Amino acid sequence: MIRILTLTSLLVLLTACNSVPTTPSGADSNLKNYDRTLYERLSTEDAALYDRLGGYEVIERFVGDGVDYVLADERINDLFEGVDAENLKFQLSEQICDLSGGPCIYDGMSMEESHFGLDITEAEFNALVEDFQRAMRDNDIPYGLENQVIALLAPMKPAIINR
Amino acid sequence: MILIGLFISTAHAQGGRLLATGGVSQFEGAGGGGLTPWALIAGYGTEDEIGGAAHYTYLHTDDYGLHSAGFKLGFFDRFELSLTRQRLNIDSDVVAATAGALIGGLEPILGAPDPITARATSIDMDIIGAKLRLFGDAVYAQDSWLPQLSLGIQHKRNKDFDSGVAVPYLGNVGVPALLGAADDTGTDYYLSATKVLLGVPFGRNLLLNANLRATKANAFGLLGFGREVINPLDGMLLDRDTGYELEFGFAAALFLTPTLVVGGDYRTQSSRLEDQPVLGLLGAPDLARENNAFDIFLAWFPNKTFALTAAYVDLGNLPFQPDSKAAYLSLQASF
Repeated sequence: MIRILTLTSLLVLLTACNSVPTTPSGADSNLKNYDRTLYERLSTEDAALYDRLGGYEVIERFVGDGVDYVLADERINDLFEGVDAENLKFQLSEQICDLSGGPCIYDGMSMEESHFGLDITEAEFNALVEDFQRAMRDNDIPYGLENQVIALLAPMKPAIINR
Repeated sequence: MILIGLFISTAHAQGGRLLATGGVSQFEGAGGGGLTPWALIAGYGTEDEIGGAAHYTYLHTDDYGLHSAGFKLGFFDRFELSLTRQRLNIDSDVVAATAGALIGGLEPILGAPDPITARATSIDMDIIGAKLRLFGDAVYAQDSWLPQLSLGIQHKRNKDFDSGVAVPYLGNVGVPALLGAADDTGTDYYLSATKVLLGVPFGRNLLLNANLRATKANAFGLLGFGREVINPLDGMLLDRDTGYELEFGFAAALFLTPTLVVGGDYRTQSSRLEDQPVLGLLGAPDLARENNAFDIFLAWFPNKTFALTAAYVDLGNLPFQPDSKAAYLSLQASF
């Protein structure tokens, strides 16, 4: 009992110290299989990244463009042959909404599951990152917010490549 | 030659890492910032690719100018091999001042010397470098403070250790030997730890680097390695010190925009040639004193092929130039 209390108070303390603009628990999500990012630990922002980005509509817009860029990107578009683009846009928007502290709980496949057998290389992973950076810039997402989105996605690399 | 061929033949294939993640070339040729090597492997090659970079750097401070040119290959984001040639140009003013100090110290003992015209000189040095990434992922492992850690070596050969400049009484000497260095070659061993903080502070990406170096070098090896002081009049060994010393380096770099990085380097030096008895006799014991060096740089990465770095470097004391502030420009081509 004492141990549970200590643990709880420690968690409360940690949460208080790092009032973080992202998913409060992360426990419900099927997505986040990594520790809190350095950005989440160090950020002093008081509004969620989701809100600072401009909410779901903005996320949907740059994710839509990002997926379009990926599908047109000859370095990686063969990986997406036969993929339902609209569903991919929806799943990615849900992910970013969830990660950035929005009112979404991603309940799709885990990153390991959804990339199983694809044998994605690090270069291909980076090509997708570049396409999404371009999409965010084309949608006038400020560079600081772009970096924070990338910071939340970066630790997924080991779950995605060489599967 | 084979390496150059490989460099050219693979140069058309662009590596798959993200912009700027290979760093620029530090002045000794390793992937890093201006003064310190970083743990990042140079070039844009991922774990499945070979990357590389070539650089040319020029640093100028009044009576001294340092050229550095070289190239390196990064194998599978794991191992970096570099070859660099440095040339330190020394103005005739410095040679004339050296001659003046010798005459001042030795004329009472040896009489007036034969007249010699002071000419500008230069010191060439070759650097073979290797760097092995031990563990860690500086950029992607954002859920951990664990940095990327690399172990490196830099083997340096000073080509103008004991010849190249004519001075009164002693004839043809080399600047490093004259100032009291023991050896013309030395090998530095270093550990570099690098971490990139994505999205912090102010949403910017911040790179932090710490470097620990075991070295025998004087002024980065341009003034030789170790210390060996011999009385020029009777050949007696007065002092010898060829052990390693530990030196530190720190660097920080902040991405202002996706292509523009502002940063700084700090690097300590051993100052092993300071307080040298023979130079003391000549009335210039601190001639080869070394200060800790620092710089402030601005690096521009317009694309993955080119990077341009401009810096202000403070080197402190150089012989006959006690307060050396330098302008630094470096161009890098990479793949």
